[in-house]
Amino acid sequence: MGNAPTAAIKLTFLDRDQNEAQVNFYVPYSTTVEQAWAVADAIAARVQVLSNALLWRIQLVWKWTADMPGPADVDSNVRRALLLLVQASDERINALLVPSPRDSVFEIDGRYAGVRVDLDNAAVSGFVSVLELPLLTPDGGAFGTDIITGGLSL
Amino acid sequence: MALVRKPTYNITINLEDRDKNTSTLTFYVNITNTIVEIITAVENVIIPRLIDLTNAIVRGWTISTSAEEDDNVLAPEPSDVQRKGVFSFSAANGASYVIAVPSIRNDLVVDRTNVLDTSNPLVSSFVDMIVSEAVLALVRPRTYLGSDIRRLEKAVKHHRRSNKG
Repeated sequence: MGNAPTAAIKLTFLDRDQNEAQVNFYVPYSTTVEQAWAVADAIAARVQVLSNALLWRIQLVWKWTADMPGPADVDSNVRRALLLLVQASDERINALLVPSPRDSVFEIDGRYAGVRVDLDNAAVSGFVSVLELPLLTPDGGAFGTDIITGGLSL
Repeated sequence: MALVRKPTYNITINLEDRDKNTSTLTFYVNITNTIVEIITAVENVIIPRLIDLTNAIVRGWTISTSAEEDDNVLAPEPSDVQRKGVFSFSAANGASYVIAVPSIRNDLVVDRTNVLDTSNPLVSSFVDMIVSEAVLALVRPRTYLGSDIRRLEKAVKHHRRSNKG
């Protein structure tokens, strides 16, 4: 993976009719988050006085791109997805959709063969290490680490 | 009226199948992590475990975070994000770099023209921020490829289409 030469500071403006437009600025990739926020705030202040639209979002983005990715598996299809349901300690259930699942992650016998996730599959149980980073929900709550079930989503 | 920072970083993984169709998968992690810690997690944990589950290939990934307006405020009536203040700069590598400020204020435009008034203190302050080392002591904006932005070539008002506009 190669990183982009710069990190992006994206300012999004809304007008009275809720139309939106974005203006992007770039800073060296090595810029820390703290520096990027400081620069973003300074830039936003100087752009806002030029505009009578509403600045409603600032986004900081660091990007990586695969150098020479090989072809995907011949059976790969991102229209199919593996739905994983994960329970958090507060008993809330969160969902994760993994595009183009391998056939091996589904049960191979019984009425749910090829449809229900095989919780004993090493790839599925190994994914717990990702959940234990830990992952959060978009609002900052615990995502959970207990995969309770899952299956094929079309 | 205040921009409120989100409590998470978004890690978005871009996947591609054999037919070049693409899809994404987004994870959220705590904002207290450093970028280096997140990069390590993506490269050593997330991607290896993810490719055990999927037969698509990883084309790339992004780390992002944001701040959003938390009040239900309306932009002023004359605002129109398609009315852009288009600043064209030249860069050290010979390329040009364009910044289009949405909904540029009409009082920053020279009367009877579409030219932005670069003698206006607000406009000149913005231009100085881009081209002068002195204004942003920490980091100065660059072109996407990281080249130094040298000089303002042109500043005009243009109407350009925007998202949802």
